[in-house]
Amino acid sequence: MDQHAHGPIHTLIIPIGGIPLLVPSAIIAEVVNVPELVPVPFSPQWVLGVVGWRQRAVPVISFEALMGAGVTPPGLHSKVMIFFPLPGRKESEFFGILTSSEPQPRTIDSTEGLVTEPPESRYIATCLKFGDTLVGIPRCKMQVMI
Amino acid sequence: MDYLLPSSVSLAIEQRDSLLVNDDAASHVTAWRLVKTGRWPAYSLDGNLALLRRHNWQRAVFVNASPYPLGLIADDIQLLPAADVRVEPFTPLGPPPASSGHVFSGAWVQGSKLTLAFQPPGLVAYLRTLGE
Repeated sequence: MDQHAHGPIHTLIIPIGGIPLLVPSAIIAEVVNVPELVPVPFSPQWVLGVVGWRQRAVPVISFEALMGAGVTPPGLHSKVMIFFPLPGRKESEFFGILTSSEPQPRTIDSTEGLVTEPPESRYIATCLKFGDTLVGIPRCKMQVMI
Repeated sequence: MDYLLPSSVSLAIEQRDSLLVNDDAASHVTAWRLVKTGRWPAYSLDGNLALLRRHNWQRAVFVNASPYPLGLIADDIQLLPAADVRVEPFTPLGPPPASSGHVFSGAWVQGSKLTLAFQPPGLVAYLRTLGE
């Protein structure tokens, strides 16, 4: 593969409980402070609640809980990352992921030197290693699982 | 917790003294509305919509349903003009609790306050599972 064919990719490293996530910045609508989480009855454990955002109700999930770990409640430095609706979902279906701290931008200029590792969760497509940092790329099909 | 219910499915709002309080502690039904053809159950639920037996309630709202209406015990009921309420679509994540779909289909967001709106078929299907 020509490592320069697609140009740099602007990404965000999302700190959560466990392995951080790596996502393209283009799929993030906004990063906000954690608003009041309103519980939604009958929701799975990994749904922390719903928040009001730009006059919409946006469900917020715990990705680590989705992967089978315990739910980590919001901390002092937590944020909610609001994602655009995934392909195949309705235009109104924004969703949020709770972070443990501020997400960090990362520009990937080339695939050279990137090491992939097999994921340990069906919600992670693959893991990448930047030096000592291991990050997980969420599986695009997670919309089906959600 | 506050929830929104479309007034189009609200059949009746009854005060406590118009209802027959159910003294059977083992029953899921808090009170009955007696009608000529039988009786309509009313359920007391907590903020998570789980059954909650309580005694200090004042009214119930009955939802149009087949074969008979079903009621929700409420602390307070406010009738809001349609022009004052803007409900945006909302799809809960995860599987619905009953066969007729999710219990909520929308939400009203007012600044930092958010109120979920019931989806009547889903609500009715869930209440139906509570039985007597």
